[in-house]
Amino acid sequence: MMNVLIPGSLDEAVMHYRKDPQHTRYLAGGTQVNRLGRSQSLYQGVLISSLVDADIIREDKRLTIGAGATLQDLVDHAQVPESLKRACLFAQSRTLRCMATVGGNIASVRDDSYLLPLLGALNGEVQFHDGESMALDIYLGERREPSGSIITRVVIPDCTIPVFLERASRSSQTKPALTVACSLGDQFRVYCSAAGQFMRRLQEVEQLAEQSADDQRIISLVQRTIHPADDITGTGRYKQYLAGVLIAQGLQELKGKRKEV
Amino acid sequence: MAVGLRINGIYKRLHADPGENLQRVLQREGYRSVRNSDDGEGFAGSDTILVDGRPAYASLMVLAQAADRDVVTPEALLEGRRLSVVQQSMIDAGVVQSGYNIPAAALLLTELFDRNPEATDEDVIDALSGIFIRDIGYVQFFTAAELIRQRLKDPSYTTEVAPEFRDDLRQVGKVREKVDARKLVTGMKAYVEDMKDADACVLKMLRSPHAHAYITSIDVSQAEALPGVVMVITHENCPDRYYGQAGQGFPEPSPYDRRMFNQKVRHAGDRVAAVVAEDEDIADEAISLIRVAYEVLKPVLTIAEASDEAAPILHNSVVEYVSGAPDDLESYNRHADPRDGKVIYQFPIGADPHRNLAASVSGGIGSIEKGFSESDVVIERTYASSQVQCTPLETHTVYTRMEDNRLVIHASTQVPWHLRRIVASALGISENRVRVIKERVGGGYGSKQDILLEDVAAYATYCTGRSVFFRFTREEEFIANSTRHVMDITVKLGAAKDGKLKAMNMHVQALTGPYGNHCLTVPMNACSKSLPLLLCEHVHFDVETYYATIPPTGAYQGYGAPKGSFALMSAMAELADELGMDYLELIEKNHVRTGDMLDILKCLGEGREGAAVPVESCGLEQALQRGKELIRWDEHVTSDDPDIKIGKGFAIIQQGSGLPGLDHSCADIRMLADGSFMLHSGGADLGTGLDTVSVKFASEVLCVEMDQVAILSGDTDNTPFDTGAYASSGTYFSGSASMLAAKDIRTKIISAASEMLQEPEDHLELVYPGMVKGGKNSVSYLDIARYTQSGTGRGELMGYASFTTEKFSFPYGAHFCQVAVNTRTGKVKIQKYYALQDCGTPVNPDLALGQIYGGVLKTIGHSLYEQLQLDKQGICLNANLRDYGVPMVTDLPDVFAAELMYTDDPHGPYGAKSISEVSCNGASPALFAAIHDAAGIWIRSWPFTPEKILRELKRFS
Ligand SMILES: Cc1cc2nc3c(=O)[nH]c(=O)nc-3n(C[C@H](O)[C@H](O)[C@H](O)COP(=O)(O)OP(=O)(O)OC[C@H]3O[C@@H](n4cnc5c(N)ncnc54)[C@H](O)[C@@H]3O)c2cc1C
Ligand code: FES
Repeated sequence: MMNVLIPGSLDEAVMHYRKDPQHTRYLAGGTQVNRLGRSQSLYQGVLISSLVDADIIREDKRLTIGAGATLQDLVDHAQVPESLKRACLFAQSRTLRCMATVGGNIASVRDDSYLLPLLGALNGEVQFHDGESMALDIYLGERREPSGSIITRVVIPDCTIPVFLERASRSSQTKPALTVACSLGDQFRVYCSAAGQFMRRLQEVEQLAEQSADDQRIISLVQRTIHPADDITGTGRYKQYLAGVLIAQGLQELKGKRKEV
Repeated sequence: MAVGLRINGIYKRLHADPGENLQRVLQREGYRSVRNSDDGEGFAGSDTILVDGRPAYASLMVLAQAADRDVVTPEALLEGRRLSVVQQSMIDAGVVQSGYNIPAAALLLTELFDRNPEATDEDVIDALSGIFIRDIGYVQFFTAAELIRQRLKDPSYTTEVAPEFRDDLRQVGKVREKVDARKLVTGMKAYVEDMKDADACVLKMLRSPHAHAYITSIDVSQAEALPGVVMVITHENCPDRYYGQAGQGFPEPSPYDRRMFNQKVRHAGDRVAAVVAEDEDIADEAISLIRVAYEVLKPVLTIAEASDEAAPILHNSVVEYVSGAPDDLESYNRHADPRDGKVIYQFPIGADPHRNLAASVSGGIGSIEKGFSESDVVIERTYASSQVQCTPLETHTVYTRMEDNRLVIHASTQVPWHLRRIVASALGISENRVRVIKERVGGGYGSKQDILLEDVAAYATYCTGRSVFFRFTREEEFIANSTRHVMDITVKLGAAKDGKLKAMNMHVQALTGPYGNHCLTVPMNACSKSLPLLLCEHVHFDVETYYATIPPTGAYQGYGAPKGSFALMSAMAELADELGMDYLELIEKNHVRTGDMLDILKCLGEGREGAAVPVESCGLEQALQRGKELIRWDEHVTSDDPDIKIGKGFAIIQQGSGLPGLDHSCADIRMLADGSFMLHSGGADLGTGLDTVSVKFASEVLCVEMDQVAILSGDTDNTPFDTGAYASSGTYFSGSASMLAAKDIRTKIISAASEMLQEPEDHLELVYPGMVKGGKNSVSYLDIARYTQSGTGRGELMGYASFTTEKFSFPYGAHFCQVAVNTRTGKVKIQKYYALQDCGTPVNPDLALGQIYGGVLKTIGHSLYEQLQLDKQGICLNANLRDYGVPMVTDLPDVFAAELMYTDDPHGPYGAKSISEVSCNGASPALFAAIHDAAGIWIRSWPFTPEKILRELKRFS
């Protein structure tokens, strides 16, 4: 049984949270917090679903996503770019997509998030209940959630830049071995998350991509850069190999698009 | 505190804790169809509801999240007593089989078609993406969707959902509503969990954290002292009786190598203590209060480890034989450890438990030495197949209660009578003290042939007088349920240059896990259900099964056949390559045909004397011909993407129809006062449609519509004996019994009519609908019933039959596939899959197709995705559906079609043979061959993962 608190405002929600961060979780979609019923007895839940904005707003190239929007909301929205829809659709269960929120996904910082590498590649920025905002990279570095800040929005400054997104998993709905996202705005951005290694931005690879067109060099640099552990999705060596070839493929495709432009 | 919400359009104030799991709240409030299949994993979707019009998993919500919202459960779909268009269309399309998730599917399709009346197949996949269905492989949902789409415009719309067979028959071979379909689609009371009384206790099991250990001490005093704890059972207070969990006919070939609880634990997840308590929370708390000390032993996890001379011994037990004991038994037992208990054999099965050998057998025909010496080409290859789970949606569940001084067991079982026998024997009571009622079964796939939890719950009830409910969690389902035996199979084949087989040798090494469930028969089936596919003069096989500290094994749809087929057919594909010959041509040169004699079966009787058996119906040639056309065998396909390689493969398959000489089914049928009938069948319908088969047979014989025959089945007090639903016996055995019972009552009907009509019996015949026609007059069943039951007549008419046979009927088939292998990422995509199967007369053609799709998709899962993964200590790393990797609707092949190849079997009832198990035998070898055809590599171990493919392609080391 979960002890559920129903705050009247985001500030009140944060106040509840900060009283006992160890044993408190926000309840947005609840798909992570309530999963396997275990945490229902471990945590108290602070219900925020009706308090967090769920709007999706496209202004020219800029996309603002309310943290309360579900993955299915993104799929259904006419102005959301295909790459973002694709990331959401990698979570292949529609029922899950109808429940899982973008804010919950980011805050869960899971190594199998399809959204995080893509939002990273799209240079996403997270906004908080107190008006503060920061780059997703920095947020993930700091893991802001334990501080209790509530994500209210994610902003993608230019959602039209070319991106490459791929994931690898044995079956359609099992835990993925790997997700990679690359983009080409002013520069390349390369993100990879692998089972057993939380998402990383591969800046060395981005730099090499600017200098060299040699796939093999990219592949071996990726393989030297990431070190995922062996686990049920495969060996670390397999994930290194796959990250290398997928990122090399992504960068080639993006370079092709740069030429077209 | 009260939480207000609208459920199915009615505003309710629920007096419940806002933090309570919504699925539990809804169950308690009577919304039975919001079930739980994975303890809130958010994967199986048995708990699907709509919240404000959108699908949601109720288990992933607490009540507070539903406050002031609109909740819809599958119960809302029924319009009074009328089924909705979606529900009726699902029944008509044949998707309602075991049915556990069918109400959830109905709700999702309703939501889809409300949103988009013109929804496409792609939309259907998306809508159903959040539910797992194991039995029918999803394909017929597209037929259901077509019916829904059209019926929304024209309610009278119908279309052919499956081909029909046998113009000479009225019911058999026709598409008819499955007799329990309405009950299942609407989510009515059907499964064991629905039978539970409010005051029932809950049983929870403390399981071993170690794969191999002795319990050196166990202290349950604190647990027992906890208020609300009713009983704690351990190895110290359980009955001192040995038995096996395999639900097989007595005397079983499987050893009695366990007590209810043992001092030695032999797998991580083995039973340590059972707590019976007033509720789940108390049971959980009590479990946490049990103190256990272990002497941890080295785990034994692989065939190499188990068969090693120096391996730790799992059963260093005192061995006993009921018959056929070896002369040196006394000296054999000299070094047994009393903590290991006993192993009792009904008869010798080639075991040597002190070397971890659970069973062994060898045999053959001709001389393989001679055969190989005459061969131009000889190959020898080993194929490894991993441990795979049955994953029924309804986990193993039992409810036991006392009725007066008799024990009543509401079971989700394939074997009501074996269950009664095993429980009675474990408790040391007579069988007439036990009644087993088989409820609807939400998926079994073999694992409900084994007695995995009923013994403990029954014992608790018998000791305490309290009703006990015991349900496996999804995790328990992975670590404590029967899986298919791990096997390494070495196949050696010799052939002449022209491809004619000269010699076949098959060496099966298997792991039975901690106990010897089916340890002889499953691995033996790897030989007996594959070798007879090919004609060869010189054949030999060796089978060795070892104990190991892995999760338990047992029966699984197909028994050993999917693994034997994988090995033998894959070796044939490799032989064709070695011979430089087309694989299909090689098979056509060697496969069995109608009229052939299967000499090899002389040495493959399952725990009894075998005999050479003739093949009397065989649809292999048809299946191969049709498959060849569909897949365009002779055309090579290429992709525009240089990394994608496309290839084709196939395999031929067979199974049996029950176990002639071992199985036994009975049925009786009575004429009721209005001339309708009540059929009592011992058969255990697992959702496959066996009750429908029985009703079809009876109504066919008696010339009435199916609704004139009601059925009760699988209740040991009220229906006659049946060995159970396993080994593909349902249609052939239980169905035959129903047909013969109907024939028996037919003679009595005719005899009564002869008195009434004053005409000799041989002038009379039954005619549709429910009449006896003579030369001059006719009489209705209603009149016959009135006449016989008048008090002066001969009394209620009843027919009875007990069916046994020595005749074999083999179902055959061929599966063809086309795959695209991405040589850069190792990903295999199945572009086309065709399953062509001969089940004799398809009695329920629509349901038969579903059985094929289900069997194939399961085995696609086993071949490509699924695998129980253990760490070095034998702990399961992926004991949940998502990590284990079951196939979902989103994993379907791009093109997936099953076709029925009609043959008329001389022994099967109305020419019918079995259908379901054989469907599991083709996918693995067909994919194996296709991957080679595409990428030039042989992946000789399950699952064919991208990583293995990349390694074989030497993409990395
Ligand atoms: C079967 C299954 C498969 C899954 N597969 C994946 C997968 O492949 N990839 C993946 O990433 N996830 C997966 N998940 C996890 C989960 O569904 C998603 O991460 C989802 O997006 C979480 O969103 P939610 O709204 O349900 O979060 P909740 O469960 O409500 O919350 C999750 C966490 O986020 C915090 N949180 C929620 N909202 C906010 C906010 N606005 N600001 C700050 N903190 C917040 C909570 O405190 C909590 O710690 C899976 C879940 C299930 C059940
Ligand atoms: S969350 Fe309930 S069946 Fe999966």
